[in-house]
Amino acid sequence: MSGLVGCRNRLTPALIALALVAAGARAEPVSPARPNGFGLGVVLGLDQLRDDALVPFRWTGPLVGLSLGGDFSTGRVRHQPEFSISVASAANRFGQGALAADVAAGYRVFARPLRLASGGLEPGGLLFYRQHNALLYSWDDAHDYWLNGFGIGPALAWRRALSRGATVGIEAAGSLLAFASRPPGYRRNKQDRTEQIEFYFVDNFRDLRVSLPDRYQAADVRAGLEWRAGRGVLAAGYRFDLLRATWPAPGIALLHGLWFRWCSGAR
Amino acid sequence: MDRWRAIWAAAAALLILLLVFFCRCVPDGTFKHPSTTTPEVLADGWEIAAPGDVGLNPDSLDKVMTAVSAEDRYYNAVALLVARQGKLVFETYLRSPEDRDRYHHVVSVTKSVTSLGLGLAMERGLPRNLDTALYAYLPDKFDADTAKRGITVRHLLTMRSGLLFDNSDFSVEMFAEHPDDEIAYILAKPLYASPGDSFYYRDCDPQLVSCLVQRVTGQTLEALVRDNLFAPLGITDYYWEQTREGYTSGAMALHLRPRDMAKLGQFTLQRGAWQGRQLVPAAWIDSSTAPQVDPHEGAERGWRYGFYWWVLPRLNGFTAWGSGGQYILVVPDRELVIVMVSLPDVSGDAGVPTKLDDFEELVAPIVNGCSLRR
Repeated sequence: MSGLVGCRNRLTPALIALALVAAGARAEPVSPARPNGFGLGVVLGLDQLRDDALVPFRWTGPLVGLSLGGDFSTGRVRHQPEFSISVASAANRFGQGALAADVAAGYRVFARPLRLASGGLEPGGLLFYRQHNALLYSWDDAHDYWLNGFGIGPALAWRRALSRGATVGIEAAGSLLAFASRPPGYRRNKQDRTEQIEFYFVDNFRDLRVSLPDRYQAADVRAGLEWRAGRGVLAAGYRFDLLRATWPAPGIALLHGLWFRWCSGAR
Repeated sequence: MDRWRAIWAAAAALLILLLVFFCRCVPDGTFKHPSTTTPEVLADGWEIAAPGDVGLNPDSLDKVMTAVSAEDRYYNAVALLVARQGKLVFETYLRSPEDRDRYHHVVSVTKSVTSLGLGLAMERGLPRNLDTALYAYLPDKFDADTAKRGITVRHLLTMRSGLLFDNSDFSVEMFAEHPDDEIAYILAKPLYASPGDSFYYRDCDPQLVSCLVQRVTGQTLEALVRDNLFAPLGITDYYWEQTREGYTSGAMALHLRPRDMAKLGQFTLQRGAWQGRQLVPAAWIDSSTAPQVDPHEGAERGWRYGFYWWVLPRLNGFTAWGSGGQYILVVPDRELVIVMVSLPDVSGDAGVPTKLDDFEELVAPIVNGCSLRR
């Protein structure tokens, strides 16, 4: 399992950035059109998960998600709160099913862009809460498998204006210090109290561990285009989310797909 | 315009590439990594022998090993053990060799151990006989429905109490919601049929047996079994869950090591005797493993239900059976015990559980590959 999301995936942000830079290489450097208001988004993609605490199979299936948030600039700082939820129905190679739900709440801040020849680079930070619950019901219909955590980490955005109305950009963020929770390695209880809401907020966070990225990772990369649409900004692109933990056995959830967002204002 | 077209084309191509690139990037794994099949000599009381030394055809074991090792059959199988003539001859762990020394949730195999526990209690004189009404021992726990006073110990042992308490509700209500008075809570469930009329496989009946044992002996079922059965058999590393009120779980939640499950099978094969001591009356073992009621399941295979043991005419044996694929099969006329352990919490979909008919098919070559007892 140590090879999960190995070197290929560590190249992801660089690949995306290179491709987008190449796509916009001949664009004239003009001021980017920035979203500035409340946002509503959808994501359509794939969820892949594997939890060796049960069985080392990969479950893959379609994912659909919604996000609510915003993009607000005040002076030298851009604020980006977001709440998102997604659900997926997945199956392993034998067609055995699983359901997964992901809830994320985050707050990103980015500093004023550092002007570079190829665009603006915005260093920032992330405060996040992440909850990924999977019911691998064919193999264990009595217990929930989760990869949960909250914490802080760095964030980085890069944007480049393609024209007065369009911007290409990429944002990446990841956990640095997290309080993370995983299910026990061996559960004696006959079944988790999955019907009870407190299970997800109490039992799911009972065994919190202070974790650096070697033990728990929550990272995402979003790359796409933004363009003005009336008084707002439309955006579309690719989103890649990774959750990974090493105990009690390795577990990983990888969500990726196309995202679309409309933001109510622009500046 | 050309520049925009190029940008859009590049972006679209990139998105497609990314989707394709990442759609399989979590590597798939395998569940089964079969260990060797030769049992290791340990200081646990098991004598080890080669299959040929006890008249067991090694080819039949190879055939079964091939079948149980397949990734696309018996999906959740964890361990398979075979003992003949009191000797352990075959032992494989499909997920990890470490599973030998772990205890596993044996789910409803617990019921068969509860049956042995009631045999221990009856050896001590209580309850007096199987047709005694439960009401005689627990009058304070019954509600006003007088029809329930007709529930006997025999009804409980054959899943015929008539109480309407579905197993999925039972697990949630007894182990998550923790009723204040567990016995009264179970007995407050309505009757769906008159006591004794209808078999309905439920956890509440063996739970009432556990409560009864505690009430009449003054010991929990676990303490009774631990002191008088597990200790003589050398079963020390186990876990048995209790309810909040301190009753031993009579229907499930016993966790045993595979070799200890095989000991329980061997003990039952020996009709309750162990190393020269009769721990449970032979007559009790005979009654509990004989057909007592039609379970309305496996009719085409002729399955019958004893006192928490499943009787399998095709194999001429009987088995404890736990959800997911936990078995202690005993075939007396072949002097054979076969144990299977699986991951327990599987659902019925996609063929994951190793069901009893699958198990019958799996082990038939072993049963047929050894001679009848002389």
